[in-house]
Amino acid sequence: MKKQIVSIVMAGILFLFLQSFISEHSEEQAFPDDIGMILESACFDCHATGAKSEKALKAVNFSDWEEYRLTKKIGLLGDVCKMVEEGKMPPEKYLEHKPDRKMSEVQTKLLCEWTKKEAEKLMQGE
Amino acid sequence: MSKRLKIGGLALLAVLLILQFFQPEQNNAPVDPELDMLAVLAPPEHISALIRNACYDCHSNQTIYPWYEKVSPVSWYLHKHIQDGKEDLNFSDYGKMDKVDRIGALVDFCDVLDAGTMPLQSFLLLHKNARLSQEEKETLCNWTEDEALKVMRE
Repeated sequence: MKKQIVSIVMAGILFLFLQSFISEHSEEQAFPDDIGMILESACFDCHATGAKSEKALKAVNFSDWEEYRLTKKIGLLGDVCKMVEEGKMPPEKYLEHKPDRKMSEVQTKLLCEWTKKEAEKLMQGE
Repeated sequence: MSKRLKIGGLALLAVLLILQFFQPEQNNAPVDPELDMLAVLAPPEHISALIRNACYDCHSNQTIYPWYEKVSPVSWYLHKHIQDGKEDLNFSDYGKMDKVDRIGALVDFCDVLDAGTMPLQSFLLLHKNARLSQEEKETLCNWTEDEALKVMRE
């Protein structure tokens, strides 16, 4: 009897474990971890739900990324890379308050490599 | 007093006249059929006409100047607008853009119409044929989205 309970509990734990594993992987993340971290640090203060500037949110709201239609996503990906490469984003004014949010060259390169790859992927219809 | 006013008026007139000798370069290069958006995408004529009237004066290399836009200092004010407009988006260079930029330009095109940020209010004041009805905006947005999807599948 005791053995049975133990095995049922074990099976239960195994089930839950597998469940969490499956859900973690089936739930598409909008951004890969490294990209998500860059965006969070450099962009989310103004371009994610909860930010104050309507204008910034209208330009892009990364919290709603998955809701954008395909063509809009591709256009935004192009814009994101251009903005950071040209140093227009994050804006100077913001960096005056938060100098630690300035993107490094490595971060810029990483982000642009990703936006290009992602845009390509979306255009292929993946 | 009235003499002063007269002299002042004449001086102002003289300055305005002299100003006419200083004109910015006009924005009217020949259309490059390989690069110009309307030439490349060849939309139906009614769509072409809407875009030409509402956008091309500031977002292409072919501005159509009414006489008052050739008068200095209006011409200079306009010149600056055209420079800025073309910097943001120049439909005459459409063919030079890569696929992502072309899709982005088409998507933005619809977005600014939707948001009502373009055409500029100041432009609409004097260019009545640039005013777009809700229906015309929808027509344009349907067209830009179709074209963006086409670019995607190229």
